[in-house]
Amino acid sequence: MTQSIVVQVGQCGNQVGCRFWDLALREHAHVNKKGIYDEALSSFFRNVDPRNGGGGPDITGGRITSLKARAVLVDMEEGVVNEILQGPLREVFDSTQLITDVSGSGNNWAVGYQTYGSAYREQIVDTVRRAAEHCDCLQCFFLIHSMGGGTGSGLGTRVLNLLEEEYPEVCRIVTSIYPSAQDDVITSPYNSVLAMRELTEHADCVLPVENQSLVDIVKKIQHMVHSGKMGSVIKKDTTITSGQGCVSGTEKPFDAMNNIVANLLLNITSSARFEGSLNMDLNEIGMNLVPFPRLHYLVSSLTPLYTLADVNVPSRRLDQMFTDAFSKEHQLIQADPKHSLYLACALMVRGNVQVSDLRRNIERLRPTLPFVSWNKEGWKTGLCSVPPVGHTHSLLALANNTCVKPTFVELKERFVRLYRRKAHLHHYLHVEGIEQACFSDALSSLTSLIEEYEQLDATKGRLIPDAPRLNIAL
Amino acid sequence: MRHAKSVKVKEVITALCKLLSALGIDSVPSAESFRRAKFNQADVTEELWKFLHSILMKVCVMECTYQDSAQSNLDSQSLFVRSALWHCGYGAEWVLEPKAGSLRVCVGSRDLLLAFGWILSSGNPLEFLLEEKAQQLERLSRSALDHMHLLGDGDSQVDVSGTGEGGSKPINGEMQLRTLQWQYGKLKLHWRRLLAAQEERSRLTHRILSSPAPLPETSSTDSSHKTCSTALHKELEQIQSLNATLEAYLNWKSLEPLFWSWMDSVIDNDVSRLDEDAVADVSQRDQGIKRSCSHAEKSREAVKQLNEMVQLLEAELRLGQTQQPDHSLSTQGRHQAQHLTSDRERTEVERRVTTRLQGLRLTNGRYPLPSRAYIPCLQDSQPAYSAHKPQKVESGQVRLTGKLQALDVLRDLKEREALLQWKLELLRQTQREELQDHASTLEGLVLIPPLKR
Amino acid sequence: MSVVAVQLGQCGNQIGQQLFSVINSDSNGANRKTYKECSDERFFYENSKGDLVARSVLFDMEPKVISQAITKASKSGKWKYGETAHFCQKQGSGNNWANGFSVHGPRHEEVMTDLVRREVERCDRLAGILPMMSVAGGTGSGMGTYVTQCIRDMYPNSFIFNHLTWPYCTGEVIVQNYNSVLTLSHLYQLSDAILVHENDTVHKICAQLMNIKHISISDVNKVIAHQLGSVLQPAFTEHSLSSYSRDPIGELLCSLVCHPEFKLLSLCNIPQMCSSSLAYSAFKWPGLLKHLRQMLIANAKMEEGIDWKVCVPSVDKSAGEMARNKRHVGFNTSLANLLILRGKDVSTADTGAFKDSGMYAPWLPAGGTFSAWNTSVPFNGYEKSATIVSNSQSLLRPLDNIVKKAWNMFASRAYIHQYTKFGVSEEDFLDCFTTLEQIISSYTHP
Repeated sequence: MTQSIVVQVGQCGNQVGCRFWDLALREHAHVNKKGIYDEALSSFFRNVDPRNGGGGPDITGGRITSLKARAVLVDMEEGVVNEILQGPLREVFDSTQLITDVSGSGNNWAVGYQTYGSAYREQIVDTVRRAAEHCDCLQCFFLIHSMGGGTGSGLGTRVLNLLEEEYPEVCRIVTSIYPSAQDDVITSPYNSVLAMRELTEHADCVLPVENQSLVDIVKKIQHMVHSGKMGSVIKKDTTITSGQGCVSGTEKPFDAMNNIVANLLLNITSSARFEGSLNMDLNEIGMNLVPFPRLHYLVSSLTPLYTLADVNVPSRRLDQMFTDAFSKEHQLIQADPKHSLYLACALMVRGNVQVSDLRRNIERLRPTLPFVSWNKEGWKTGLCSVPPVGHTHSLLALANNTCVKPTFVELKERFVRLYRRKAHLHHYLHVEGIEQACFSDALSSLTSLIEEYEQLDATKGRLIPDAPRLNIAL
Repeated sequence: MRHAKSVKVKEVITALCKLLSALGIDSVPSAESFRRAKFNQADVTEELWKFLHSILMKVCVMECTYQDSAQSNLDSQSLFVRSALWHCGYGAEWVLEPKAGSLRVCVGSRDLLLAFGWILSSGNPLEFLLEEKAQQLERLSRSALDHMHLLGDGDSQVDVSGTGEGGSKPINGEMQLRTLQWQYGKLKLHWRRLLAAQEERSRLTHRILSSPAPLPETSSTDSSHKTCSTALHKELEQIQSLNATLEAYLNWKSLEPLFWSWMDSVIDNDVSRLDEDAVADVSQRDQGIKRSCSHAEKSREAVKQLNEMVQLLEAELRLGQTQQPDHSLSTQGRHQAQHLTSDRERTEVERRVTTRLQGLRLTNGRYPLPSRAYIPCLQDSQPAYSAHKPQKVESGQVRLTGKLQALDVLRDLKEREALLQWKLELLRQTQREELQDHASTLEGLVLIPPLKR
Repeated sequence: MSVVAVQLGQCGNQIGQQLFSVINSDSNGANRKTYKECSDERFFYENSKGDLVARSVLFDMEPKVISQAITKASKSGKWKYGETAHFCQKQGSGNNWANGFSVHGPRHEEVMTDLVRREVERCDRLAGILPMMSVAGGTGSGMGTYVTQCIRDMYPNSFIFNHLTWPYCTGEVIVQNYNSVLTLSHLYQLSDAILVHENDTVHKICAQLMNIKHISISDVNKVIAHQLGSVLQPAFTEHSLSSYSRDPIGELLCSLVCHPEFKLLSLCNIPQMCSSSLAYSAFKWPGLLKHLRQMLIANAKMEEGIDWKVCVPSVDKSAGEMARNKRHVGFNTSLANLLILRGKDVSTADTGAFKDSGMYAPWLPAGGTFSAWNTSVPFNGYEKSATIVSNSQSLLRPLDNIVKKAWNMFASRAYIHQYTKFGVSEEDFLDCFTTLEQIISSYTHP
């Protein structure tokens, strides 16, 4: 069994990470009723002797004594991390896993990337190395961060660079929370575009998540809850809406949104953790979904979503779950994959679903989805037999789709609007090691990325003949 | 010191005697007889005549059956020995120009010992006999194996001619080629199956041999099992006897140099006798050698002829190869199909080629070797002993001298072939490069080299 | 005389486990003492405790499937896997053939070849080595190819008989066509014969003949194992009429794959149905064989939906070529066929209809195209059953599809960087494509 390490950077990253650890613990508690420290648990948790704190050696096999998350928490202010340390999750972290400062990055990518990146470089590398040394077979780093702020985007992408430098063989999957258009941070377009360049060049896969999509999904769930005939009876042990275990004990405004992202991470790793008749390992994601190295932005959708929240909504049929996964409303970014071009698509199914169900639904949906000419049958599937807590089955669809382009185009426009006026530029150039070239390079990186998607998108609907085959002279 | 040496010599000769009797030679003299022969003692002459007769009978397989009745007659035996030695090109005086009177009277035991040394040193009679022996065992054990159904296979007789009933079908060259390839593949698969059977056999015998306790009684009363065990027992005995022979051979091989140094001393003795003899004899002897040389001349001519033939065949082969670069296997068949319309003509040519080739013994072994497990590696590079069998006189009898030449010529030919192959490859390479150059100038054309097989 | 199985990757391990379980349960049926003895010697050995142990080694790059297979086997109580006859690592090959072939394979070569050697040396006589794998994933296909190569190096004269599972046309692995092209082109040079099961075909059998509503991977694997078992279990052959053949793989290869350009074998069998309806069915040999023959010449893998219009072109001796040109569109030309009959009254079955020379490529030597094996012992609960192993054009179309799709992808160079990362270059790809185009061309004009 392989292990993964979660690196959560910045306020947003830590909040999402916190939800992830909560849900992961509950999922394992649900599956693993005997309290045995098993292989599945080991992928994200260490089992240690509580008397030694986190510093002692791992206990393999046997009963769970004290679980420690395979995580590194980085933030340049203390607020969120301190909250975590005072909350119910304090047991799974210890102080050696934390890297904090007091003053924050002031929503400035350059401060996060350069100033803190250089100052904390050693400490970050050491902390990650310690976590890695506890792993038997380290397969993947999950980096969680936001694109708008200073610490998440700046220090987050710097951490990404460090991971590549130190562990070039280990897969890096980044979950990036993109700001809404009405973001209150005025420099967020700068931060996002500067971070984008790093993501394009150094990540293996990026799972972009837009704040606005999360807001919409949460609204929809709440709507379903409140419009239900029996009022708002929330199923207690479903993962998405429950606030149990959150940092302050009561549900906070962002928790519902963060739960969705946390679920994304749980589902993407489910097949690597639990048994199934068609395993899908983490390194298969990049292999199957990334045809060209830079085009590694994967649009994700989780279904069923709001039906999870309420017992009153009749459980949807299995096929609806598949249909929903391709609808605009269920995507975690503001995009419509059905009307763009698919380069590849993966379906990660959990629960009591058979191959024949998968095949039926793929056959059913295929005609409605435009696929690139050379990958008409670009489907990857995984079957994990353990469903998420509270459900019989669930589906995570990951698509490499040109529909990410509008998000990038819009980001670019916002960036250009600021950049044309050179607004706030001096805050960045002020930082040692940052020159204007950084901005133009980041912009051209984004522009060429958009062009690459554009070119592929342009082939949509065109009838492309098969490439002429090799001829064998008889 | 001297004593130790003589003891050693005795040991060496004993080893040789042991090996010879293991190889099935009758009337092998004792080591003492050898020693006495060295000093030309008359009392061992008869013994040595018998011995030479016996060994020459084995080594030179006669085409016409030798009269059994004459065997008892020592005179005719000695006559046979003389003519056999003459056939093999032994140039001693008594062989070429026998004096009047009975051979047995005028030839001393040392002469016979020297003749034996000559037989031993020309060709590889011991190896030849060893191979014979091994193959004899092989045949025997194979029949035993068949009996045991271990092989479970009787279809080895593949229709190699490739035509079969297909003669009535319209078969073109391409198809014939494929048929041949199919048949060839089948033969190869059969060979590998036999190999597996052989391995099993050796494993089982090893287990029987190495098991310290007697084998547990098989619970089955099945009669086939019983025959199995007797068959195995027989085979075991055969293998043990082969083992003994091989051991004797190995022992001899390790001592062989000593034997030859002893043989040198015999020659020295002989030479000292010659010194005593009249010098006049020498010219006579030279004549005799010349005559024997003329005999060699004939064989040299035959070798030359054969070489020409080989060259011709190779040239044709190469021609065929250039026509069909990938299917070298079929060239011959194809060539025949083109040029030899009549079946009779073809079989005639085939027969001729086979006999010629057999004369040369270019291939190693007369039987398709089913296994290497028991057959010791008998010096692949050397042509087998039968090259100078008298029966081959009409097809190009090759004596020792001639044979060495044939080897040289063969080696030359091989070298030339390799050179030509290399040139051909070079030509091919340049052709390919040219083609690639051409292809690269043409839009949308990908050049694919032919598939390697 | 024994067969050593090498189970590779997720698919190979699942099917391998299923195969041993089918073979074992079939051999444990009533009234089959010699049959069982022969089958046991072929596939199992007894350890010091008297347990039946499969002659098999299990290789995977991640532990889950292997531990499942081992547990299932020992739960059966009838047989198990050798205690140390498996090797796994922690991390899979990530669907990347190059990773399996160039990284995992060489890295673990020594321990894997040691395990194979140990199993081979346990056999008095090695009938053949049976590597089982899928062509789609990374471990089975890539590392499987590497292991096959090592086995070939170790045993240049032994029989290597590869069993391959071809993936569903769509939906398993996106780079499956690349992986298939790389695997097939390499194996074609290494293996003596390649027996292929297509997941799509077997899935259809599950749906239409076995009446399974929710088909799982394990249902598909069971059908594959059943078909494989019907070939590998003991039978009387033409050269071994009175006792079970001691050289099944060798005889199979001798009758089917003598030509180096034609190594692809497909399989169909009859009848195939769910156990509940089996009890109410009665079959007669003439009917079964008539259906099976039509399945063969019309290239149908199921008795349902056979095109009965397809017929064998008559061979007009005077104008043979002319007659062949007019052959029916759907006609499946064979190179060689092996028919295996199992069950009651097998001696009454007339197999003459399979000898029609019109069914075969014209260049084949007469009488060398068809072989039949039989035994009166019924197989796996079927009173009568017939299996045909065929070297024919039947895999031509799926193979052509694989190459077409892979070539299209290759033309846009998609995913190539994932392979070059592990040392498989564009030239390597081109070589492999060339090999496969050659095979396609050979089978198109048999």
